[in-house]
Amino acid sequence: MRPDRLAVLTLRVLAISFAVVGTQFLLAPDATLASLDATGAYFGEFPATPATGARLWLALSVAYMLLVTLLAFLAQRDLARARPYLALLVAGKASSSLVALLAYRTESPSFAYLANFVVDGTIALSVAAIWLAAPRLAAYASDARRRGDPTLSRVDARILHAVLEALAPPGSALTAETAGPSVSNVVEGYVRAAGGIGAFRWLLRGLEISPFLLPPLWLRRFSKLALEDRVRVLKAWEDSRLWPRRQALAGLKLVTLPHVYGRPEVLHAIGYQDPLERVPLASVAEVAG
Amino acid sequence: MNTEEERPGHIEERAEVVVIGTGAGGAVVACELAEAGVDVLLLEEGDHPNRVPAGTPPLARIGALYRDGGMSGTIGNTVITVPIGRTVGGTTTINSGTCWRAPEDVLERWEREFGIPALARGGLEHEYARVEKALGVAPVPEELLGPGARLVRRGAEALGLQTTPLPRNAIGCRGTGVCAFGCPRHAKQSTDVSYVPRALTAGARLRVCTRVERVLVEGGRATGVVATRLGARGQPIGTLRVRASRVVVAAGALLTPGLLTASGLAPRGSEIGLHLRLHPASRVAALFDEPVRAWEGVPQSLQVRDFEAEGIVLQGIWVPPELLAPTLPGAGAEHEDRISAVARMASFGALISDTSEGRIRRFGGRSLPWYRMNASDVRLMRRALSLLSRIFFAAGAREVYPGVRQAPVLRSTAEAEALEHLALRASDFELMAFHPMGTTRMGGDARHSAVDPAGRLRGVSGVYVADASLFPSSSRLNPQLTIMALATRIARGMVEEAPMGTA
Repeated sequence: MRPDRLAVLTLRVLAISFAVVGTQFLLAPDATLASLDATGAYFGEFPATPATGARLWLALSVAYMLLVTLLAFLAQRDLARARPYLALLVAGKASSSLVALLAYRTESPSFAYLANFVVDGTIALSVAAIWLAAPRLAAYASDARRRGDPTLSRVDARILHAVLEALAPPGSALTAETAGPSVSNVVEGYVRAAGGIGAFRWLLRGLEISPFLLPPLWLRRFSKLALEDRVRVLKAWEDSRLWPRRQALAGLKLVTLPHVYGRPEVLHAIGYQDPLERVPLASVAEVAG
Repeated sequence: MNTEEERPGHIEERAEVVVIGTGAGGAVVACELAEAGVDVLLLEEGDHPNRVPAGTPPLARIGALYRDGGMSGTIGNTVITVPIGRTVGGTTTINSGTCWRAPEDVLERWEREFGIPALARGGLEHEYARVEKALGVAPVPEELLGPGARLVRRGAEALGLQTTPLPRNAIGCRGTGVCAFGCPRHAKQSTDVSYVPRALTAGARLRVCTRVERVLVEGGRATGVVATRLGARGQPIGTLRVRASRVVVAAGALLTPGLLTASGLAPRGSEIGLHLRLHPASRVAALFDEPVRAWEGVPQSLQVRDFEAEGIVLQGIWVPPELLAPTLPGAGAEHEDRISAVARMASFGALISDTSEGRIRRFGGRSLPWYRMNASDVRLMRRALSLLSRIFFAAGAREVYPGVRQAPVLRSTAEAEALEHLALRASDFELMAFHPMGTTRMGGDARHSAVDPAGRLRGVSGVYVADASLFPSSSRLNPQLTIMALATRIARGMVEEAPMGTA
C-alpha cells in the first residue's frame, strides 16, 4: 500500500475507533469499565478500576472522545493541511497516556490505567510519526495523482478480466492471454491516460451488480457468472432500450477491444497485414529527398 | 540536458502576433504573416508528431496525437465522439486529407444571409487556389482507390449513382492507409509538413506543449496571452507570458469559445459558443464472400455525389481491425467470428449536413460541447445509412452492419430499404463527427455574429479568430480547405491593417 494511503487509512480507523469508544462510555460507562477489568483478568491479577460517582468526569471524557474523533477525521481529509489537527491529537493522546500512567503508579495499578497508557501512548507516537511525515506524504500523494498511478483495485481488475473474457473469449484468433493481466494493465493505462479511470471504475462496478437489477437476472455478480451467461449480459446491455446502458457497453468495447485486437499475433491470426509491412517505408534518404 | 522548452519555470516572450494553434487556421495565418515580414510566435498545446516513431501502432498514436486519447465528444440526446488533433498540425495531422472547396450555394448563402463579402462567384478563388497549390491538392489516382472503394463504386454504378475520386492534399502518397494516425511518409500535406515549416523558415517561432489559458486584454486591446507549459506527461512545468499586440485564436470550434470565455471576452448574450455544427457521421461495414483487403489504398478516396443536395455525403472510411472491432455488433464468439472475417470486409462513411445546433458550455473550467440532434437530422442520417447499405448489397455484400440499434445486421436489400422507415432516435445510431464548426461565427451583422468579416473578434481590439468556428453554417463538405482559405484572407487583412508591434 502507498504510504500516504496507509496514513489516511490509519487516521480513518482511529476516528472510527474513537467514535465507538466514546459512544460506549456515554451509553454504558460502568459496563465499559467492567469489560476493561474483565479483559485485564486474562493478563493477570489487577485491582478493579476505581469508580468515581461524579458524572462530570463522564461528560468531560465523552467531550474529549468527540474532539479526538473530529481531529482524526479532519486530518485524514487532506494530509497537506493535517499538521495542526495532528499536533492537537498527539497532545491529547500523549497527555491521556501520561495521566493514566501517573494514576497507575500513584492511585491504583488497575488494568484500565495500564491499557490506556499503552494504547493512547501508541496512538500518540503513531500520530506523531504521521505529523513528522505529513509534508512528504502529501507531496507523494500529489505526485502519484500527477503520475496517475494505477487505481484499479483487485476487485476492479477481477471484473475487467471477466469482461475481457466475455467480450473476446479464447477462440480461433484469440488466446487465454487476450483476457490476461497484460491486456488488463494496458487497458487500465489507456483509460488512466485519457483521464477516465473514475468513470471506468463506476462502469465496471455497475456491470458487476447488474445481474441483480437488470434483465437477464441472476442472483450472482457478473464476474461470478459462467462465460456464456456473461456474454448474454453484455448482449443485453448492447441491445437495451436505455441508451445510457447501450452507450456504457459501447464505451466498454471502445476502451477494451482495441487492446485485444491490436496485438500483433491477433492481427496476424485474422489475416490483417500491417501497412508498413505491406508498403515499407522508404529509406531515410528517400524521405528526406 | 533539457532543452529550453523543457526547462521548468516562468518564461516571458514578445512578438508582434501570437497565434494559438497550428492546425488548418493557425498555421496558415502564421505562415502568411511570417512571409510578409511579421514577427510571429506560434503556440501549440500538443507536441511534434514526429516524436512518435513511425512504426508505433495506431492506438498508441491516437494516445499521442489526439486530444483526450480520441475520446472527445458531445453530450445531449446522444453521445457523439469528435476526434480532434492535439499535435503540431492540429486535426490536419490526423484527418483523411480530403480537400473540397465549399459548394457555391453555401458560399452564396454566407454572403447573402450573413453579410460576408466576396465569397461566391469566384470571390474566394484566389485564396482557394493559393492553398490548393501549397498543398498539392489533386484527385486520388485510380491505383490508390483501394478495394473497398472499388466495391462501393461497383455497387453505386449498379444503382445508377455517380462516384468521384476525392481531392486530397497528398503528394507522393503510396496508399499506406493510416492517414488518421499521422502519415508515416509525410505525403499528406498536413500543416506540420507544409505551412508550419514554411512559417518557421520565414522567421516565425514555435512553442509546443504550451496550453494557452487566457488572452490578456488591457483597455479594450489585446496585450498578449498567458499559457501553461506542459511536461512530457502533460503535467504543468511552468508558465509563459507573451506580450503581443495581436492575438489570433485558432484552437478549433470546440475550444476557441472556451478560451475566449475564460479570457472574459464572451459577454452575456454574445454569440460566442453558440451555433455548433458537427456534420454527424456514421460508418457502415459490410461482409463479402470474396477477399476484400480493404486496408489497401487510400482509406478516404471516393465519394458518392448524388445526395449532396439533400445534405448527405457518402465518403470512404476505413480503420484498422483493432478500431473496427468495437463498432461491430455482438459479444463473445459471435463478435470474434465477425472481426475474424475482416479480410472480407469493407466499410464506408456517411455524414450529414446538419441543421441541429449545439453550443459550448463551460463546466468546471472545461469546455463541454452540448448538442441535440433534431428529428430532421435523425431522418437524414437514417436515409444515409439506408442508401449506403443498399449500395453495399448492390456490390454483392452478404451482411451489412449499419450501426443502428434496431437493425444491427442487415441481410438483404429489402432490409436495407426498410431501415429508412424505422422509427429511430438520435441515440439509436453510432455517431461520430469530424467537422465541428460555427461556434464563433463570422458575419456582417454584429447582433448575429461574434467575428466581423475580417476575422476580428467584436468588442475588443487586436483579437482575431481563424478556425472552423468562423463558419456561419454547415459547410456541407469537409471544411479544411475553406478554413485555410478564410485564414489566408484574414492574414492578408491583418498585414494590410495598421503596423503591428509588441504590446
